[in-house]
Amino acid sequence: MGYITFENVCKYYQSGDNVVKAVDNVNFAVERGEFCVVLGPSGAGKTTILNLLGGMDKATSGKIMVDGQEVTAMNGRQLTEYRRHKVGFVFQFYNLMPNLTALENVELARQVCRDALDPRTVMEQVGLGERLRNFPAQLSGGEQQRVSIARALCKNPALLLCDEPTGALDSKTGVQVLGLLTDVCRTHNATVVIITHNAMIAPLGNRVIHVKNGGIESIETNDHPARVEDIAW
Amino acid sequence: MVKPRNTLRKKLFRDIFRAAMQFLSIIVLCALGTFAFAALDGTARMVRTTLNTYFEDNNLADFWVTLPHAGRTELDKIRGIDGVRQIRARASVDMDTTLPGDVDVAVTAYDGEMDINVPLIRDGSALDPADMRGCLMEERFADVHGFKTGDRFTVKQGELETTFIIRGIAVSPEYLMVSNGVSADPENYGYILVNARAVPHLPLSQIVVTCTPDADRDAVQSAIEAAIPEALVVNRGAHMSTSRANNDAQMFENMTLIFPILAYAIAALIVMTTLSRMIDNQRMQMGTLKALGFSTRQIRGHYLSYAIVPSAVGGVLGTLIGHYTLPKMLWDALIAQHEMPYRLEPPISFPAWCMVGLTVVMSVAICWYTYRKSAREVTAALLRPKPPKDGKRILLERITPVWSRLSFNAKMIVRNLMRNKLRSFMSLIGILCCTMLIITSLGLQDSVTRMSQKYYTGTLNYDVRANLDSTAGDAEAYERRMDAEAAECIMERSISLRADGGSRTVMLTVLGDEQTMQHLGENETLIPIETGTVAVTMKLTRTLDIETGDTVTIYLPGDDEPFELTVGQIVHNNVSQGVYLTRTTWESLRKGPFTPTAIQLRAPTDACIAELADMDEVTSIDYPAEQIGEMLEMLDTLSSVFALLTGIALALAFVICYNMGLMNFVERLREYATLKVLGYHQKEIRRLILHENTIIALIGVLGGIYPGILLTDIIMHSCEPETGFYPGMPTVQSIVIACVTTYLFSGLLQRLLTRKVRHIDMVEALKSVE
Repeated sequence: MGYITFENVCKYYQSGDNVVKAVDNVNFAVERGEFCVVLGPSGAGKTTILNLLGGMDKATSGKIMVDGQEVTAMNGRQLTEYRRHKVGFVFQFYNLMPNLTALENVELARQVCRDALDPRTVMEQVGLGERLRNFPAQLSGGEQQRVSIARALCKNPALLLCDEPTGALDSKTGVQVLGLLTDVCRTHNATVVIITHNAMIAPLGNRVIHVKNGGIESIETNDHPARVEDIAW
Repeated sequence: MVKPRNTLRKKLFRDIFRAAMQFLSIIVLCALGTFAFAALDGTARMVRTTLNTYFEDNNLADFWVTLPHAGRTELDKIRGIDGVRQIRARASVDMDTTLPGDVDVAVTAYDGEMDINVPLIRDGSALDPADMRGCLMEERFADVHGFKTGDRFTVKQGELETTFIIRGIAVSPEYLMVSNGVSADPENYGYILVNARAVPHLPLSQIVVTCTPDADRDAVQSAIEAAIPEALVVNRGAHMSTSRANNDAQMFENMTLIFPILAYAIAALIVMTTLSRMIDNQRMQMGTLKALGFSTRQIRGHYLSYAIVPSAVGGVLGTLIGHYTLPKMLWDALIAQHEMPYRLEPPISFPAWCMVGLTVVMSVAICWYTYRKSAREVTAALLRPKPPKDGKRILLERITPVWSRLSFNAKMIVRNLMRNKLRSFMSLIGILCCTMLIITSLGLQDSVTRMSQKYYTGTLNYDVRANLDSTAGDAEAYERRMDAEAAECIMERSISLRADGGSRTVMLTVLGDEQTMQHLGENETLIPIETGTVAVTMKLTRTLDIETGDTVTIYLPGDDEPFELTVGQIVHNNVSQGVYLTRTTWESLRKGPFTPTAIQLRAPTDACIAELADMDEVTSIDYPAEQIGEMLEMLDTLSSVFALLTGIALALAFVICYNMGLMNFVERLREYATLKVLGYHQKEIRRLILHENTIIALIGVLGGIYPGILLTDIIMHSCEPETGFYPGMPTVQSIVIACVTTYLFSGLLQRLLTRKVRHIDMVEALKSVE
């Protein structure tokens, strides 16, 4: 039994008479503390998997377990509590509050969380100790993504979910961000799930799940993942 | 091939349909402005046209000249004046009737044809000048007392009874307002018209005069006054019935100026925010159209239609609804007090259509302005989403001691408010106007109530007033005889007051030297009237441009030696304007004895009242406490205006706040979705939104208080006739009610809006920006 398990998870969208099978009968497990990469072309259902895992969307059928809790059985309120205390999200387009400073964006997460970390410390960890009082618009893409990671980390989440975290970044900043994420996995002992269509990232994962057409194509485990510096972009 | 124009038009209607609420709010706001204007303008024109037609068709007199004897000499003198078209001698007196109760009628006896102030016959026939026994009776009086054409009706003057046969039921243009007191009272007062030959004992004491259309009315009046110095000349402005009706029409005309300006200012602001948002949201489509090769002209036409369609629909709709509904309602309120002959309905006026045009032009201009901003960008730039507005450090942050003390949420709220200054400002204006209009609506009622109370219990500081006829006896005898806490006699006479600034027919009141019953100081305080000079009411000094120390000339009717007096003091009377003398001053003028025309009594015994009722010389008994009620009845005319005002206020607040709230919500959907993902509960997000709006609502409500008070005063003054001074001031209670109502209303609205938080779909809202 893994830390995360998906059992026969399906997500169908009804549009008129058509049924779109975004995710169809998916099964996999991820262990605690793993750095898991979900890889697949766009439209394969990666994001749907992440949304289901993060409690942002409801599965049509099947069972999702996280740390012994059944996410698929939770009601709206419980899902909010789950997102609040257990999950950290990092988005492709950062989704920072434009009218809060970098530090305040991180503080935003602390507002709702029980054992939050100190926002300043986290900001220093992601290397933005000097840019606390800047607004998102005054930061580069990589810096914004780091703020977004800091915001997720501040909650000290057991599970960090990242949706194409490097998708909007150039390769150099992309590498920096990935380095940060692998560090987090090690030092915070968090389970990290990264979604990407970029096969270059795959070697970094303890576990790589290949997704295609709404289903799992293959799962490979890698006991000795590559270091960030070594991957070719 | 399908023409691109048609596709664009299809897109226009789909867009309108999709953003139905926003378009609807533009329609409503545009309609609100034209509605207010069309309604008030329609009412004003309805009253004006009816009055003008009535006055014209029935040949209303320009002057009523009262003189001791209207003989051949006097008639010739007036007929000879340049500009006089027609004259007619009449007798006019109030008489008792044989009806039960204290029912009086005004009897007007024409010497010849009734060709001036021609009665409008409702039933029966006109009165033949040779008819010695017939009379025409006022319609309402006849209705109330059940008289029909052919009935007999008897009037009494002293012991002399005269019986007439009612030949017809009529209304007269000079009696729009049939009253010997404050308000119409057909139970107890009416009028009949007869031939002078039927009542030969009545002296002809009045000449009615009409002027040629191009005559200078003021010059004619001066000429008559010069020709017959002892005559009292009353023009249409001073003729009570005519001037009251004119004042009411004037009131609506004044309001057509005040309200639409307000409505327009607000509508403009809201249409601006809504339209600019809609165009901004369309920028990518605008870019696409450009990229597809549509011409700039086509695209511009398309986007300007965004403004033209809803503003034209709203403007026309508002005008139609305003014109065809409200004037009739207001008219009904008006005829409770005024005896109108008929109702003429003028078509929608040119200015009203102009307002529709103005509405469209205003919206298009706003749309044009926004469109130009976007159109200037290159196509490629348009295809990228507009970058979200950046956060900025706000002033408050620089004041560290304050800023650091604010909670995190408070900081966020303050930043948001400052980020969307225009939108916050709009919502603020919406709330502010709502508060202001409700305060005004309540304040107007307060002011009228307070004014009548002040007048009848403050200025007139007595409980009973007995009016005496010309057979009244000695003042001291009455004062001694009355069984009351106090009794004081006064003498009142209509006079003509002339100063450098013009002349007016006003009431001269001669008060006892030590009088205590008319409190003429500021705020209804008792001030002694100086002997040797004349005291003039404040409003009258303004009308005639008089100051203390000036000399005024007073013409007594029937006396050809006018006298001059120095204005010694300015006194205050909000309801009627006139001049005051002490008894000593009067007697020193040697214009006759001090003959009381009324006895004022404080706390009279029942026996005293009974005694008054039995006295032959007492014509009527007034109770100021009851007159308050009569005066308040006049409020009925206005109460529909008040209701309209409150309705507009709430509609306004609803449209503005809902619109702004929705816009804010849609724009920040992504932020709210992010908060949701971060694990914020619905309640927490809702509270954030609510707090933001609470701050706006509070500032708006507080900010609306002063404008509300000001507007009340402006409207009160715009309603006042020349003889009144109407200060407007809402009570504290009304202000509180208005504030609480607005605040609760806005809260309710926000609660309605924030319910949408539940339906935010995180997945949908956070999908990558494409």
